[in-house]
Amino acid sequence: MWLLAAGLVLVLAGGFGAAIGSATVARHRAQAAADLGALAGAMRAVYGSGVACAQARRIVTANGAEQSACRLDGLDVTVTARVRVAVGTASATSRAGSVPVAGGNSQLCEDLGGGRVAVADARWLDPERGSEPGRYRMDLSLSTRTVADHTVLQVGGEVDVYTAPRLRERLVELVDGGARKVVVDLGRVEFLDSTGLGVLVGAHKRLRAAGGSLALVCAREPLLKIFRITALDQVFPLYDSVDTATAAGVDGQAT
Amino acid sequence: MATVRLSFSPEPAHVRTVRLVGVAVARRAGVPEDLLDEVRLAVGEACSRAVALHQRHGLRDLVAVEMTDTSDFVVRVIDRAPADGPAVPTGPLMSPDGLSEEAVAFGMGLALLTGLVDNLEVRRGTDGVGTEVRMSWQQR
Repeated sequence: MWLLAAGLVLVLAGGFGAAIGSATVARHRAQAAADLGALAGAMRAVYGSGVACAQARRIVTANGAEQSACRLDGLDVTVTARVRVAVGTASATSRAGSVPVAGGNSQLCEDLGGGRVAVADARWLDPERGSEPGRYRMDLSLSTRTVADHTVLQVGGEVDVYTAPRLRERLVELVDGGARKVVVDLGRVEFLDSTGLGVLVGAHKRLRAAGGSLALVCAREPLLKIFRITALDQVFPLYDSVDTATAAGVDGQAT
Repeated sequence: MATVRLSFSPEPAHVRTVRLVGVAVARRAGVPEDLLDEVRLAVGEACSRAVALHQRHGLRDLVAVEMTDTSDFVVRVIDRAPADGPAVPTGPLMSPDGLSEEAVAFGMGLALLTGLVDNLEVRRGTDGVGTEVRMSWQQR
């Protein structure tokens, strides 16, 4: 797993004009942009220099500076940001590096100088394997619990043409096992495709035939968009939390 | 212009690999971050459709994918299945009641493709066999 820690080392800051007024502001802005750009780039270091430096540039630009240099050495990213003002140009360079951490936990730290350290992010993510339990998983996770008289199936990871059969099996098991008020919680779903939608429609029909109901919990816009495009938002009751889903009646409609 | 080409056996497990490659190439091509989710979904849908068609016809031929970075980012997914039935939805979405799960998924896949991709073309393969789904996104 790519559980990594990053320590940010500010290697140099210089090249700016007279350190008064707007020049000081510009220097601070350049430094902040370089720091954030290097951190952002280092978080993408596993994708290679193109992606890492493109991400760094986005962050540097968003912070009102211009990225004049970016270099990836191993998993270390060095970013130089530049801010032009009337009295000259301020530039700053930051380096964000990473070291694997034994024991599994990770930190992404920023050395603010003077002994101050900020923890910017607690997790790095391997694009292939994921790291945070229950999120960013490549595969499918399914867990069932009972809330009041509802059966809540929490789905995590990716529901696609490869993993959807497992979701179908679990839903069939639940209905065969007597579950009638079923809530499928999609809150941890990272990816859902048409195969997954087909499985949900199948479960909806199976439950209706058995006198039951299927409700979905889905609050994230990318997923909601999929339901809108396919008009399935007219078919399923959609709720923004398990609580509201289980509080609604058997035939509760989307609120 | 940069081109990435790949072919894969018509197995569901490989669709995710193509999605990952598609997003990586799109990102490199400069497709805006906020469109990458759509690229991911559309590439996956086009490949799922091709895999389903090959499996339905018992074909082991490879599905071909070509991504090119010209003025637009273009993805072409090419299957070898005989053309039967409409390649894109011809009318408003029907109620999903009464359709098989596979038919629902197929219809939803096409609905997603048409809903997500601004420039979508579905046409016969160049040699008269199979279909080509061509999708493109503008780079900013």
